[in-house]
Amino acid sequence: MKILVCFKVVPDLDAMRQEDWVAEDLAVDVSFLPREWNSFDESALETALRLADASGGHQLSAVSIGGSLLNPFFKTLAALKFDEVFRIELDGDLRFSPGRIAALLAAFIRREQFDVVLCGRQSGVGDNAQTPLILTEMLGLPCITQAAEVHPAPENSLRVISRVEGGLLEQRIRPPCILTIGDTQSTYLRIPTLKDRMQYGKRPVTVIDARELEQDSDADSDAGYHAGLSSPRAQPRLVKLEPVDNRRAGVVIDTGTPQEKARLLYERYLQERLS
Amino acid sequence: MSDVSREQIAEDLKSLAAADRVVTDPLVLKESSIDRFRRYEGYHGVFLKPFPAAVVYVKSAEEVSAILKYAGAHKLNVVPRTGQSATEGGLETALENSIVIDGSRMDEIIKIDTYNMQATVQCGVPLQKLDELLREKGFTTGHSPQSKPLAQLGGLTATRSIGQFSTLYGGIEDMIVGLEAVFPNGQISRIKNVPRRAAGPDIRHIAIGSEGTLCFITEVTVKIFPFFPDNYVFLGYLLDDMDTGFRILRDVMAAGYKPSVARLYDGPDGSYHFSHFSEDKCVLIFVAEGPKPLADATAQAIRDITAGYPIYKTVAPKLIDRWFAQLNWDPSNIEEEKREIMELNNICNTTEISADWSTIHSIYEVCIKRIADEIPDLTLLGGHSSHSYLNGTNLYFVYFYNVVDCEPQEELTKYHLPIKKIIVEETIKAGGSMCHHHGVGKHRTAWIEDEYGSSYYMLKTLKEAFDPEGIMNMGTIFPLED
Ligand SMILES: Cc1cc2nc3c(=O)[nH]c(=O)nc-3n(C[C@H](O)[C@H](O)[C@H](O)COP(=O)(O)OP(=O)(O)OC[C@H]3O[C@@H](n4cnc5c(N)ncnc54)[C@H](O)[C@@H]3O)c2cc1C
Repeated sequence: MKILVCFKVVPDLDAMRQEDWVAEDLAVDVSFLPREWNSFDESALETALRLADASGGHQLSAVSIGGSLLNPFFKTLAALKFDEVFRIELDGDLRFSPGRIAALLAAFIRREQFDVVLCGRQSGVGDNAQTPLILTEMLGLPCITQAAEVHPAPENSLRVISRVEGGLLEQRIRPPCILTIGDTQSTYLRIPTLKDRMQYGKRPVTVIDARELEQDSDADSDAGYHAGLSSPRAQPRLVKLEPVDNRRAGVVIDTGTPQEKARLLYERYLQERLS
Repeated sequence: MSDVSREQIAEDLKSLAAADRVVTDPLVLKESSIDRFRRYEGYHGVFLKPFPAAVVYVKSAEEVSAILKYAGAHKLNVVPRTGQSATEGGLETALENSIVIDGSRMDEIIKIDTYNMQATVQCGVPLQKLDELLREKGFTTGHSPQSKPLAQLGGLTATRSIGQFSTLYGGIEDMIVGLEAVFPNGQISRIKNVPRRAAGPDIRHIAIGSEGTLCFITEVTVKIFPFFPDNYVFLGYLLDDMDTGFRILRDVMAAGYKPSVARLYDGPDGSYHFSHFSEDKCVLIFVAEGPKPLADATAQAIRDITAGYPIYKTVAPKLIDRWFAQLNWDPSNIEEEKREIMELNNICNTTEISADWSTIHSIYEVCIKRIADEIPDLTLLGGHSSHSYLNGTNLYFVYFYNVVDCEPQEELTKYHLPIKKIIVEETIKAGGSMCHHHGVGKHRTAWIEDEYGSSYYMLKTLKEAFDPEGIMNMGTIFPLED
């Protein structure tokens, strides 16, 4: 199976100070922040590796859109033995452009013909949660959302367990398909050894010019409809940023022995919540 | 060997401190038998050290005195502790039926004296709490170890800790003006707070760095400094190699400038911290602070000195400023690290040493080469210098490894200890010190005589004199006799 993981690298917004959010014309500067895997995409990458561990014969690829800042992340994936890594070269603010991202990915996926496409379900920056769904629409493929586990199954199919309200849903799906990865059990991407970094980490990144892919999308048979999905007018627009007041009321129990404090905590605050 | 049972010890302690402050909960005892050195084992539910008989939360020097006298009478090992952020095994209960004396509830800020520029606190005051209070008043302790949100003044003193701003403010040994400590025979001794003295040897240093092996520290008085957060100047550079970085650090120090922060990261450690700008280069950082004319002049001098060296790139100050704000570890970082360790079977450990300017670079090179050649499953190997002095600097080796094909209890013997051995042996061979700021703990004791050479006589005599019964944190600093 040819498996592709679409991933995004995001700034670590926890490192922002309140004052950093204040910006004229809403152009909040995040260029000084450390970068990290988008958490759902990190789970998607690990899920792909586990699928490859569980059954051989897969070809693993990963793709992201952006500039050369992504290179250290690609090196890590190469060291983890992803067979091919692709960077769609495009600088610019794509935070609120799920349609445009999906169009680029769709053109790329059509070109390379993958069987299974894994995407994190959403990115913390922009928080659109739309890219994989628009991508599904554009490619006309079946999609399972909120996958938590993906296992090999007989007859070249996959067993996908996803979280639904009140429980777990198990489904069988035959590729080609798209899976969006939600809350998985293991959220971190494994770490390559220095030896693997030396041996595999230098594998070159295939860089693709975004304009080439955009020309491809124009040739797509449903071009008109899909252009609508990715047109700037269809994109969410940032209109306002407002701080959230995260303060919560609190009570300090500071009288009595630890046993008495525990009893007070239980009787006054926990009992009714637990029953 | 002690003549009392665990149960009896707990009972007896209840008559020496309030009963509700004597804890014998099995979970607490288990977790009190180790510190972060054995966290991989601990997270996997493996506890190999004897569990203490009880943990007792003390409230006064008199209680400590009574408990130490009791321990001495029954030859019971005592492990002092406060913030529990120790990294080198200092909190491991090496002997059966130990008593853990926890000073964290002695947490009163006794006096902040802004005229005489000193603050007196009990041993269990968290450094973060003291420093926040001081900052509200326009002052600071100047002490900022990465564990500031975790560590307390007793432990910080007992380990000879050092903070990120040490190049200006010094280590804890430069900050403490006086203290109170309780000795194994029950003696409560106070060292008064004076600007300086020449009345014999400086006995503050019997307590500072003693790691719980000579006395229990109950109170300390530290210097305070005016706080000028608005005057910080951040400087950052990317360099092609560590040697250039060490030479710049040396020139800044030798010229007499005192930036508060002077840090040099090698490529791998630099990429780990600064992936967004380091480009796999070495990263050199300075912070100048203090009264504005001084901060500005210091920053300008550093710019002038670095201009004489091949600099790959200058880094925007904001990149450094925001990184600093994220550097310290609080309990949430500890929890997150635990999740990562359990999920990935990947763990980070460190060893910190110091040496003079002539030898530091060769120690760095030989250690990195040997570790890379000899140790399997490494996922990151690097280091940084974070505390510089007139005559040399420190090196903080950082290593991550995947724990592969071994039981939790083999993690230390397969990875961490062999790495530590390489670093310690190479450092001592080159004339450096095997411990820069975490203390000896229980896992560098094999080299303590090599570290001291002929002066080991002086160190050993302190132990024999102050702790003749051998009850104070046995196995720490001084190896246990078989
Ligand atoms: C994430 C992290 C970052 C760290 N960063 C730094 C750093 O930047 N700089 C640095 O120097 N250290 C650092 N450390 C190490 C550690 O925080 C320090 O050694 C600190 O001084 C320990 O203080 P504590 O209150 O936690 O002491 P504990 O962990 O409770 O004890 C440490 C040692 O001191 C002894 N001790 C504790 N209290 C007393 C007392 N009242 N009387 C006598 N002996 C006592 C104990 O027996 C033990 O040997 C770091 C640790 C962690 C986990």
